[in-house]
Order: sequence, then C-alpha cells, then structure tokens
Amino acid sequence: MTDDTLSDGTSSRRRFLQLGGATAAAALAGCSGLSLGGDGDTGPVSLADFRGSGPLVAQRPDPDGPSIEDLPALEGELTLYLGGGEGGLYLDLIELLERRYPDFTTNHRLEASSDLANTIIEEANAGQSPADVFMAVDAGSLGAVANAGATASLPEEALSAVPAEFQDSEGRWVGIAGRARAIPYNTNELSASDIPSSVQAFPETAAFQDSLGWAPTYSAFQSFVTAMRLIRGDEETRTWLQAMLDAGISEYPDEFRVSNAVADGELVAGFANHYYSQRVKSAREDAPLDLAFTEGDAGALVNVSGLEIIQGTQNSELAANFVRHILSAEAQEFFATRTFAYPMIPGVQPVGGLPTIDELNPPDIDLTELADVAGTVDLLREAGVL
Amino acid sequence: MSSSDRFERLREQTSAEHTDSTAPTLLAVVALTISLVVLSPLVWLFLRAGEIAVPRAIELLTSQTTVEVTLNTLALVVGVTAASIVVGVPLAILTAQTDLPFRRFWTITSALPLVVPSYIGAFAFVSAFGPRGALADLLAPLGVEQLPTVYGLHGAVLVLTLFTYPYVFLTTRAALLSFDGTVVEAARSLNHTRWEAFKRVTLPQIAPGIAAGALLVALYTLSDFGTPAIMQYDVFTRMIYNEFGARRLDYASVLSMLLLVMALGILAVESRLNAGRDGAYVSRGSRQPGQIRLGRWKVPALTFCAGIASLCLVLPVAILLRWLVRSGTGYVGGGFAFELSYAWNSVGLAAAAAAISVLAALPVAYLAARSDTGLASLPERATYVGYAVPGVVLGLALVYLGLAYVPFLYQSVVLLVFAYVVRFLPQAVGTTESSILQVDPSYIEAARSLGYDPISAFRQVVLPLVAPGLAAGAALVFLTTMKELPATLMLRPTGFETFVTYIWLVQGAGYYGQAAVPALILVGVSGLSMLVILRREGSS
Amino acid sequence: MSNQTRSRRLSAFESVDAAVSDPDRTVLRLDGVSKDYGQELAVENLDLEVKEGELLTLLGPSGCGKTTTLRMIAGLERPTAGAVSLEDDVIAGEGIFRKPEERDVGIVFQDYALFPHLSVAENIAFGLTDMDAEATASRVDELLELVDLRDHHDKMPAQLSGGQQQRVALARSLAPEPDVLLLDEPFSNLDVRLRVEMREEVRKILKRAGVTAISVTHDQEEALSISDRVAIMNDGAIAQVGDPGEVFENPESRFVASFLGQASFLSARVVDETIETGLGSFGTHRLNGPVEAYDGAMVDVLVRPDDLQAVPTSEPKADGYVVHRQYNGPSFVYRVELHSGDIVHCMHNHVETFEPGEPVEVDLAADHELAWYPTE
Repeated sequence: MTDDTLSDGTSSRRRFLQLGGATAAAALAGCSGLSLGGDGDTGPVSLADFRGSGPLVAQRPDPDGPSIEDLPALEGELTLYLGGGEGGLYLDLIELLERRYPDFTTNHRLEASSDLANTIIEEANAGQSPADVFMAVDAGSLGAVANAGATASLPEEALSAVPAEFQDSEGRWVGIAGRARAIPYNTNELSASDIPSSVQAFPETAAFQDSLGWAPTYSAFQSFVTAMRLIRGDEETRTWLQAMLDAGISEYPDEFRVSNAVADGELVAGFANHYYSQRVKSAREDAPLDLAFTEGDAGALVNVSGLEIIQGTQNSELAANFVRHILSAEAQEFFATRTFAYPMIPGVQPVGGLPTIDELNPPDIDLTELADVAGTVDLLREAGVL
Repeated sequence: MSSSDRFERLREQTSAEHTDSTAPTLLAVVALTISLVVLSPLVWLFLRAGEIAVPRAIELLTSQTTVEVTLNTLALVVGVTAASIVVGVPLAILTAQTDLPFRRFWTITSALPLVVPSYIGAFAFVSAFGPRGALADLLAPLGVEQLPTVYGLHGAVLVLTLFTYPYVFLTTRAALLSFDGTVVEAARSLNHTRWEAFKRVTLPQIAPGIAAGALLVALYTLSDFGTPAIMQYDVFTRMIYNEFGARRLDYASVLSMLLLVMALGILAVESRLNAGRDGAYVSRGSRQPGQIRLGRWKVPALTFCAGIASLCLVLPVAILLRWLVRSGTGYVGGGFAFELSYAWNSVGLAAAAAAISVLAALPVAYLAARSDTGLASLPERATYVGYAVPGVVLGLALVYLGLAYVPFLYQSVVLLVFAYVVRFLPQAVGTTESSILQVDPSYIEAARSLGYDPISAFRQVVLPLVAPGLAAGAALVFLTTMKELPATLMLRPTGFETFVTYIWLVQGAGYYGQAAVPALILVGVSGLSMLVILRREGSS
Repeated sequence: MSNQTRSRRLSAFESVDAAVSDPDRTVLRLDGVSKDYGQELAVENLDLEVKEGELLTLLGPSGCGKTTTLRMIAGLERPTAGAVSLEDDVIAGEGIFRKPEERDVGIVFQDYALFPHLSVAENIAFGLTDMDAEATASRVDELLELVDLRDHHDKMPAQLSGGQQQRVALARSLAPEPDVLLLDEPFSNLDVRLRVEMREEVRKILKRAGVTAISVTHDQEEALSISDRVAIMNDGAIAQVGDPGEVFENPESRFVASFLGQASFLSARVVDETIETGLGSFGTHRLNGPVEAYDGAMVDVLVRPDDLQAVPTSEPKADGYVVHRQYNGPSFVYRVELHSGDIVHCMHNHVETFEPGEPVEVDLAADHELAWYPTE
C-alpha cells in the first residue's frame, strides 16, 4: 500500500484492488485461524473477533458508534431468513453474536434473497411468516416484502444511525452494508484509463467489443438496470441494452462467474458488484483483476444489504435489539473488514483502498424503487437480453 | 400352445383382474389417489395463473421471447434426448452383449455419471473447457489461442447429455439383458447381417427400454435450470426463474403451465412409441444372445467407454480436487464449517424419499402393469408430470399450499420429503412396473387357490420377487434426492442443512474449496446407491 | 359300458388303492354355466357333473372355452350365468361368488407357477397355513413321498427338471386336500417322452390321493389315455361326454368324430340294405344304428386309418391312388385319393411300402360298426 492511492482521487478508485486484494488475502489468512464451529461454543467476544486480524486491520482506527457493550443483551431464539450468496458470509457475524450471548440462538434459513422474499410474501398471504427478521442482500427484495405489507416497524435508534439514502423512506427496512456496482477488468488487457467513466459510453468503446460480460438474471444486475430506468427512462435504457448486445456482450449466470471470467481473461471487463472481485483475489492472489467505477450513473449504484422485521413476529423486542446489534460499531466493522462492504454508520470506514461512498459519487435514487423488478424484466425481455 | 390359445389365456389373465371386483377397484382407487396427491401441488399454478388477465397472458405466451425460448427449449430437449440415446445405447450394447474387456467396470463407470449433480458437472466442464479453462491453459503453450466456445446450445446439450444419458444406459441395458437372444439367431439364420438383425429385431424389442430412459432424460432436461444457465443457453426455466425474481408469480405460473404442456407432449410421444412397456431397468435373465466379438473394434470401443468416463467422472472429480488444493489458504469460518449432521440429514431425507416413493409406486405400478386398458395406466402416466416441474416452482407451490392447508407441516421434513416424492416418484414407478411385469400372474392365482387372499398372496409371492426392482427404484430416487437443490432450499426446516444446501452456501459465497469435500462425499454416497441398481442384474 | 365300470377297470389295471368312499357321489356340478366377454361368448349354457375320485378331462381345440370353464371352477373367472356347486354348496351363481381362496379347489398350472423364491418344501407347505410347524413338516414329507421327490426337499424350483417341477406343483396343490384338483394343460411343457411317462405318473398320484380331478387339454391322446371320462368341448359347449373308448368309437357328431383320431369320411348312398361308396358296396349292418330313414340319401361314413387296408393293384381294378405317405415310425399312414373324390387314410405296417401315385384297391377292414352322419 502506498500513500498516493489514498490521496489521489480517480486513480485510487481504479487501483484499489491490487492493494485491497493482497491485503484482503492476508486478512483472510489471519481469519482462518478462527474456530467458531460448535453450537455450544460460547464466551467473550472482542473487537478483534469482529474484524479479525492482519496488517490491514491492525492499522485501522477503532470503529466509532454505538458499541455492543452498551446494548441490552440478546436473549431468546430468533428466526432469521438470510439472503444467500455472499449473504452466507453474514452467518459468521450471527455466530459471533451467539457466542457472545449464551442465551441467544438463531434459527436461520439461507436462500437466495429474491426466493426468500417470495417465500415471505407467500407465507404472509397464507397467514403468518415464521420469520422474525429478513436479512437480504438487495434492497429490491426488502422493498418487495415491505410493499406487500409484510413488515413491522424498525427501532428508531437503528433508523437514525443510517443515512437516509440507505433506508426505506417509510422506515420499513434499513441498510446494514453497502455494495457498489463496479467494473472488474483484466489488468493484462486494459489499464484503468481505458474504462469510460459513464456506462453510456461502453457500447462504443472499441476495447469492449465482444469481450464484456454480464449476468442479466442476477438480481444485483437487474437492480442496476432498474436504477438506469429510474435515472434515464425506459426508452434510453432499452437502447443502451440493445447497443450492449450489438457490441457482443456475453452472458453469465452470476457475477462471481463474471468476475472470475475477467480474471481468467475470458473477458476484458464486466458488470459486477465490487466484492466479487475481492473474492476472486482472495482465492487467487495474483489474478490480473482490478476494479473501476463509473460516476454518477447507474453503473455507480450503491445498493444495500438490509434488514426488516416481519409483521406479526412474536419476538419484536428481540428482533429490534438484533437490528441494533447489526448496526453496532463492531458489527459494522465486521461488514467492512470481512465482507469488503461499505459500512452504514459514519463512524466506521470502508476497508483499505476502497473509495468512500462520497468518492464513488453514486446516483441519487430511492432504493425502495428498485423493487420494480417486473418492469425491468419486461424491458430486458423486450430488448432481447432475457 | 397355439397362438389362439395363448390369446384366450391372455384375455383371461387380463379379465381376471375384474373377477374379484373389490380388490382391483380398491387398487385403482389407491393408485388414483396417489397420483392425485402427487399432482396436487399443481393446483397452486392454476390459482396463481388465474390472477393474470387473459389478454396479458396471451400477450405473454405469444411474445417473441416466449416463442424463441420455447423453440430453444425444444431444441435442447430433442438434442439432449437424441445425444443420450447415441451415447447410452452403444454403451449398453457394449457392456451387455460384447466381449469388451472389463465389462463389469465399464458398466459401473457408464452408470455413475448419474450421481454427479449437473450443476457441479456443468461448472467442472466450463472450468475445464471454458475459454480460459484448464484445457486452454494446457494448449496455450502450443500456440492455440482460442478454443471453440463451449457455451450455447451445443455446450448445454453436451453437458446435460453427459450427466443424464445413464438413464438411457440403464434402461436399455436392462432391456438387452431381458431380451431373448434366440430371435437374433433366428434373424441371422434368415441371412440378416448382424447390423440388419440389430435394426430389424433387436432394436424394435429394446425400443421400449430406450424410450423409458429417454423419457426421463427429456423431462429432466425440461425441468433443469442450473445447467443451461451455466452454459449460457436461454431456456424456459430461465424465463420462469426471471419471473420469480421479478416476483410476478402469476407470470411464472402461466409459463410453468406451458412447460407442463410440453411435458405432456413428451409423455404422449413416449406413450405412442411405447405401447407395450416392459423390461425397462430390469433383466429377466432369459437366454442371452451370443456375445458379439469386437475384434478390431475393441480398441475404439474401449476408447469410447474411457472417453465418456473421463468426461463424466474423472473431470468433475479432478476439478473438485483442484478446488480443494487451490483453497489452501481459504477461509474457514464458523458459518462455513461442515458438520457431519448435514451428511446425515441428506442421507436421512433421501432414504425417506426413497422408501415412500417405493411404497407409493407399488400400487400405481401394479395397476399399470396388470391391466391393459389405457385408463389403468393413467395414474402411472400422471406421476411423470411431477418430474418435469422445476424444483423452484414445486418449492414455492408447496410453500403456499403447505401454509394454507397443512400449516403444521410447513417447513417440516414431511413436506420436503413429499416434494421429493412428487419429483422423483416416476423413477420408482418405472423400475417397479417393469419388475412386476416379470412376475407370472399365475403365481397370484396359485397362491389364491392355496387359500391366500389377494393381499396376502401379493405379500407372500409378488413382493419377494419384485424386491430387487423396488430396491433399484429406491436407489434411483435416493441418488436423485441426494443432489436435488431448489426444492430442498425452499422447503427444508429452518436451520436444517444438507450436503447440497451446504455446497450451495459455500459456492455462493465463492469458497469452492469448501464445496469440494462434501461434493466428493455426495458423489461417493450416491455412487454406492448406484451399485444397488447394478447389483440387481446379477441376482435376477 | 357305464362310466363307472370303465373307471374301475382302469383302476384295476394300475392296482392303486383308490381312497374313494363313494364313487357315485357328485362332487362338482355345473348348471347352465355361461361366460361372455362383452360380445364374445366363451362358454355357453354348460352342464357337467364330476363324481368323487374321478378324473375328467375337458378336451377341445384352442379357443373352445375349456380353460375358461376350468377358471370358473377355480374362481378365477366369474360366470355370467348359471351355477357352480362344490360338495353341494353353491360356490358361484345365484348371487354367490366365492373367491378362489375360499374354495377348496387346487390348481396345477400349465407352467406350474412354482414360487421361484421358495424351496420345494416351502412351495408344498405354502397352502398349509392352518397347521403347526410339525404337522406341516410331516404333511410335506408325506407329499414328497407321494410324488417320489424325497431327496429334493431343499432344492429350488429352478434346480428341478420339468417333470420334477410338475410333481412339486401336484404336491403343492394336493397338500391342503382340495375337494377338486384342476390341471391346466398339465403336460404341454414337457417333451414327448417325458409327457408319456408323466401321464402315467400323474394318474397314479391322483388315484393314490383319491382326489377328484379335472384336467384340460387339446391333446386327444393325453385325454384318452389318462381320463376316466372325457368331455369334448366345441364353441363353448360340451359336444359329448363319456368314457374315452365310447367317445372314440361312437362320436355323436361329425365334430367329435373329426376331432378324435385321423378321421376321414366316405360319402355313401343308402340303397335299401346296402351303401354304395367309392370302395364298393357294403351291407348297412356294418353301420352303427338304423339307417332306414335315409334310404336313397347320401351319408358320410367315418373311417379311421386302421379301418382301411390298401392293396397294390393296377387300373382299372383300383379304387384310387396313393397321394401321400406319412411315416410314423412303426407304421405308415397313406393318403389315398379315391376315384369318387373322397380322401381316405390307410394305416400299414412299416414294412409295407407304396409309392405316391401308385394305384391301389382299398378294403374296409374294420371289425366294428362304423359311425355315420347324414351328409350336410
């Protein structure tokens, strides 16, 4: 890590991964010593457990914000529906909380976020969802459940801790970790300056012809298209999608595979959430992979993982307390250092070389509106993408 | 016995079913009930599809995308089915009727790919033959810059074929083993060459066996989402999946119903091809035709067997091992620790699904095997529909129906096992029916003349004789249940993990190395159940 | 000769101890039994009585309804009309239908239907459900003794020869002491030599057991050789029933006549006390029964190969010429086409040979009255 990567705005954005990747791998190596396995495993949990160890983390300032130490103890059994994919990483956080509170257990259910949203809505239609809390990896799924009237209100402390753009305008869900859209690119094929700063320029970029990849069935990608519709309207979005197809873009089932394909050189660049590239790097330290970000458009969308409390829960107090724990300084430190996500409270910084959200210049949209996936699927279909 | 005498007897045997009116009626009622129960989740499709306005539904169904995707799907189904026959039938002939060296070994390797989950197989395939896969790495130093793409229709056909052809292999092999070889000798004595004799005598006789396997291949292809997605080929299940993602369940339901119509079409084609279904999966151990001597074809034949085994078995296992080795410094956190209980959960679920499927298959198969009216085989045909329902559709249907009608069973193992039975019952029905067909109906009559009522006669005489067939059916259900993912995810009790949900979890989080060990165990355990299927050949 | 004396005569021949208490008692009775399958009438208004200890054979061509009749007795088919009574109890008809397991009827199946997963002893014990283990074992031994398979107690059916399998099947069905034993084409699965041997053997076993039995066959030799009585069936009805010799020698209809033996018919014109045939004229006394009513009309006279004798001759003395020679080992049967157009068969010792085309004179050598039928 060198200083200029942090001080120089644009280039730092485009070059962070080489550092982040290396340090992340080291951080991960440090984590691998953790043993949290057994259910009966309880005991004191320190900040180090939340952030793990390693040189990168060691240099970080202590997180600032409401500490777990100041929150009431978690007690009882909580049924948690947990959006899958990288959401699986959140299981580690849950395990830490269970370890800290001997009387607290979770009954968790891991599936794809959109499947869980469907399930909760069907459960609510049929009567009552067994879930107390829904933790999803995209705002669209959270919004869908909220729009179906299946949510209960969130504790004020939680809502006030998180910036308004990362929660529902009616307070039905709250963000817990940010996930930026990004352009992973192969450093053997391209340099940072080859990536246009607007996605609108992509179809005309010569270097991208027949060598870009995307995952149009993947919910985060659909959210990106939804954001583009909100910003530029359906017509322009359709034109852009068609132009991308004309430029010979390849389709993948998910964005981890897009990121992998970029690292493999199968693609020169692609569309993916930022942390997938971290994953690739953590498995293959020397992969020729870095991230670029566009500016102020849908390509720079920061979507969130979030939480909502399910209507009719018998555990509303425990659920509210749980939400506050997830937004504690320690838990936010976990998201930042262990999932490479953007923390949601101001007192915790994103890890290492990641640009801050302000530097990212995300578009200004209401994330709940990302729930209109149906319109996006129709548009993708009309454009011939799906 | 003259042919008209035989006819008289045949007619009597079939009409004998109606002699004692209570038992067959009861049997028909039980079989019909089972098929209705198995089809009941489809009610949800009608409920949801009913919510869509008719013009919108028509617009959806006639949209260019729908038409294109329908054609794509048909192309995939036809391609995979045809390719499975092209791979499965020769392998069956080689292992059943020739002097191929190590036939026993090749029999096992030819059947085993069925135990590899196609989502693992497809991923392994891309890892190996993708644009920057292992093969490309290997060839790069030789100056090969670009490989032909594995993505698209041909890639999807190839991968699906490699992991589903064993259905055709198993049923064809059983048909060959049960086939009276003297007719081939008769044909050859009538101056037919071996090839002509095969075409005019063997092939028509083993056709029902081939068709039975091809049916399972076709229906599976129709319902699979994972493989076409990985192979970047646009099919019907993806459209349905997108509608689920968009939370338009009404659309998803309408499209699912179109998928079911396609399944019914496949069933109709198979029924027509296969008027006298019997012999699928099972050998009757009658006189074997003379072994075909391969002669100079021995080496090509061995190469063929070895090539298929390499692609289907060595490759995925090698890729899994590579994940394992690569992930040396990987992440082992609490949430990702593999627990032994996952394995037991998988095995327990699969065993329960297998046992219940066999129990449910018995009356359905018995009715179909012992009656010659089309009506009597209706329940049997109906059970096949569930096999074509994508897991995610079935899963959500049971979420809703379970909550609405049997809330005490929601997210219980019971409902999950029921879902497996709905999906995999036809595999048990197929094996059971063909073994019942081999039991001489006069055994029952003999037992009854010795004072046994029909049910005791069935228990004492038929059951012991069809037991190997039931075991094979159970094993097929067992191994397909072991690898089932979508319905498992949606219906399992909260907090209940299995091999596949664990593999899904760690793969989703990008930790492929973590997936390798359970995936290898999964393949190993399922492989054991495959031995049960093959062992039966020896015992009959 | 009555049926009764006939069966006694056969028994005497074989010197077996018939365990029959009352040979005149009717064990099984079929009254006007019919069976149709939709449009198709398989059995029509059939009456039959079977006496205790008797072995009756239903003989007829394929599709005549004999197997259906057997299966109705067994309870494997339900009669459409009529009644079946066993030991004076109605078991089918009059609104009653007893299931196979509720009738004391044993069956030996054509393919024996031995349970392949059970040993010989287990097969035989299968129907002995209400005996204790010891009684079962001794009954099994008794039956193995009866069928002469003591050493095969533990063998599996697949290890037995065809004849042995049949004996096991017999033993199994006899074990529960059925009121009636049914045998469905019992010898059709055996090779010719074994068939003859097993006919004797089976008859001996049945007689020793004293069981009332009905068998079904299309093989006339088998029927005539083992039965106390045969019932010839045609088109779902019984054409004639009686002891084998009587039926063979005095067929009551052309059908029965042509079905039994290698029958030929000689067309003849009745003129007063003589009949004029292609073989010359004979006195009507050589015909069976009064023929006066047919004076001046044509009749068909039944002649079997052993009734005729061919003598080589030359035209114009010849009655016809040889058209075919059938070699039967010890004998030849010659087919002769008469000048009158009739085809007849003559049986000769194997040392007398004629060539096809040879002109012959045919003599009527029968020393019994010939059956005849009005020409249709």
